Amino acid sequence: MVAVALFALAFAVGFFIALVSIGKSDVLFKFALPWETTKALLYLATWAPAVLLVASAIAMESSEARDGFSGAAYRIMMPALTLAAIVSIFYLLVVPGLEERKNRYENQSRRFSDSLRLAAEALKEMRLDDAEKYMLDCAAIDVRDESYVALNDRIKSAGVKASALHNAIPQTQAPLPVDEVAWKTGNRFYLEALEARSEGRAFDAHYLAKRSAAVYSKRPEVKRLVEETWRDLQRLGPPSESIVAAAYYNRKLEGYARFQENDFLQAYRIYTELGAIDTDDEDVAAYLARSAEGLSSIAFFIEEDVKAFSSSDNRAFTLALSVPGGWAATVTAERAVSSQDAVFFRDLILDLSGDSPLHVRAPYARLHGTTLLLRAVDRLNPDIVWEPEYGSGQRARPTAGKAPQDPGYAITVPFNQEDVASTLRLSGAPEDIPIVSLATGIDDAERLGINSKPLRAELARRAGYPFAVLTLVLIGAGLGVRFKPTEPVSVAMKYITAPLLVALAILPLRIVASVAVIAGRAFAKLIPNGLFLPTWLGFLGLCVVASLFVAARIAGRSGE
Amino acid sequence: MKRGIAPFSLSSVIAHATFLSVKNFVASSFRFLKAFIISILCISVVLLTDALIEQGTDHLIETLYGICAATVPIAVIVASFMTFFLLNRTMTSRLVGYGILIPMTALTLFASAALIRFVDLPTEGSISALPPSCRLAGSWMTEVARAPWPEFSAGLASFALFTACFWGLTRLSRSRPLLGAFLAPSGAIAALYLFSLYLSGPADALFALIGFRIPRLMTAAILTGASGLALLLLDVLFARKPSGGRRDA
Repeated sequence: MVAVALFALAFAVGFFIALVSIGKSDVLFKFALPWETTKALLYLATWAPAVLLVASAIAMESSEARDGFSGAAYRIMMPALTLAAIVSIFYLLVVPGLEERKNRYENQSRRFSDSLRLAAEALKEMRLDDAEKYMLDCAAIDVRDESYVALNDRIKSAGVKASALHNAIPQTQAPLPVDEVAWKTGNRFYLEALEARSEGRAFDAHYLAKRSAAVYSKRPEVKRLVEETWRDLQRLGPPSESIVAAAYYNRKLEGYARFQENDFLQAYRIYTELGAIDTDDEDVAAYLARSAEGLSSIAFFIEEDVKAFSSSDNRAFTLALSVPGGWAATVTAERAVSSQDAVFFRDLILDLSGDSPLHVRAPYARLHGTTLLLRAVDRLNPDIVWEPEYGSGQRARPTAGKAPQDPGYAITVPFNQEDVASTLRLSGAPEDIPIVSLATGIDDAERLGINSKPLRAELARRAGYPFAVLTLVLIGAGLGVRFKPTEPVSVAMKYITAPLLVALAILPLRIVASVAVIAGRAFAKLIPNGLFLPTWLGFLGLCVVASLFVAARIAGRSGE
Repeated sequence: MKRGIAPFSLSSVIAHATFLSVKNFVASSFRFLKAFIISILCISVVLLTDALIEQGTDHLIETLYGICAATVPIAVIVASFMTFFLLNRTMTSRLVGYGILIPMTALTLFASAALIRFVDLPTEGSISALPPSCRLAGSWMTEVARAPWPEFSAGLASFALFTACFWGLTRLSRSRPLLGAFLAPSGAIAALYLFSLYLSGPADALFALIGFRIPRLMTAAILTGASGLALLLLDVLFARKPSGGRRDA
């Protein structure tokens, strides 16, 4: 009962400390309560050994047994040992997750603040693309934050103003290549022709389509529009509804044609546009879904990235793998995160050497299996696409023409998702890594070029916890027998002094724990990987046996 | 004829009491020395291991010697606190207890310091192997061991007094001896921290503020000695007399 009361008090005190310190931690309001709860549970885990020591000592101190340590130990210590087992399971299985959660809340809060600051700076310097990118980072964390909403409004408003200015004074733009200028002008006529056609202005539509074709004659859709608008003109007096329906139908056909040509992005754009006009059109819904499916082979939707980054902690990433005399791959990313389906990267740089060398940078990338997608698309507004940039002197950036040597937006890489996920998992703070990954991932870490010594030291620390609590329960029992008072201690006094005893035990136990950490590090450094765990567990077993003798000796002094 | 117990003569009672006192003295001294040696070995091995893992060293013996020298104050504190419990069980007088403890602590310190003074091996490089919170005390030991005799004597004697006078902490509550057992480790840590505080800059500045220009080792000795006396006073005022019983912490 004392132990349960102490655990409850430890949680309450931990929560209070977290509550007081939240101002300094800069955790977002959204994460405040879960962060405080997580911190309180972590405090509880930190203080649990001291609580068990005190609970065991008080249990033995209050016992009626007068026949020394061994006589009373088994009966009275059973609850304490059960509690020690529960605490150990909690520590091994739950605490790493809590650590990871706490770090994620703190990291995301820090990243949110940094991105918001950078977005504000970018807005001030009118780097709106950068501002949008930083705001996307913020959106992945908290879209309801007041400062985010306010800044986002300012950026959108600045974007609208910039766009209006751009349309008003196009001559201020840097001169474009002749072909591109022609394409743009032709495209403007083409769009105006489409608009005229959809509004039933058949003559205008044909006239504008002709002008478009005259300016830039290489676009098949313009030629098609010229023919179609001519046929429209040849028809007599058609009702405007039919023209609109025909234009809609033709657009559907165009989308279908794109789909057939495997131009899934364009098909997706067309069907998205048509879906907004007629939500009940089954063809549009079906081909929108198929286009999206097709698109997933050459791009991914940015929302997947946002979801992955918002639901898991992310960190800077570096991986260097090579086969002697064969390929070598270096991947770096400013941030990367692993989700169930894939690994997502931001600001990725990939260098491949070997038979097909490649250097590419991508603002967003996604790795599934061995397929690395380098292009991200906004699902709701598919005109927004984040493209990769290929290194000069190497493969050209993919175009509609698609050169045969063009790697495209989906690259097959010589490493797989599991390698990257393992690297991400094992290169973070060792205390965040689940015990199973830690126990099974050390070989992977060495293969992937990660220093395995800190991982082994952490495994040693984690494996030592159950032994440590067992030792403390035994020593506590010994102390309880040894320092049994002459008069029974009242229940009230027991409950009042128990927290004081816990507080007194915390600091010395921390020093003892640091000695255990040094021992763990020594084993991690000196013992070969295959023998490390058995040797360490054997050493811990010996420590428990020694502590049993020490406890019995401490208790035995009561009879002196 | 009724058989009775032969009455003890006064001389035999005195002889018996003397024998018990000598026995207690020897037991306490032995316990102190045993605890000191075990502590210094354990602490040195742990710190040496840490140093080897972190930095590696080409001079193992010198490093070990330096660490042993620097950890003497810590080992003395640990040994004193472990001896407190034996004294509680065997002594019924504070005076006798302190009479054993203070000379024992002082002798150990003086012997260790003499060894450092007369065996000319470098020790300064090993200070970095100590945890940051223990470095001041560690460097004090090597510094005071090589200091002029007045500072040497004052520094070590005051530290012995200071350490021994924590004994009262284990006797604060007789109805709850467990409290003393839990207070002792924290008391040992507090002793080390307090001593480090006396060796730090602000303590020197305090003397400079009131117009005294004396060496740093001497200011530390004054503060340590004064704290020892204060602890002695606290023992007399608040702690209970040792009962010499088995239930006393």
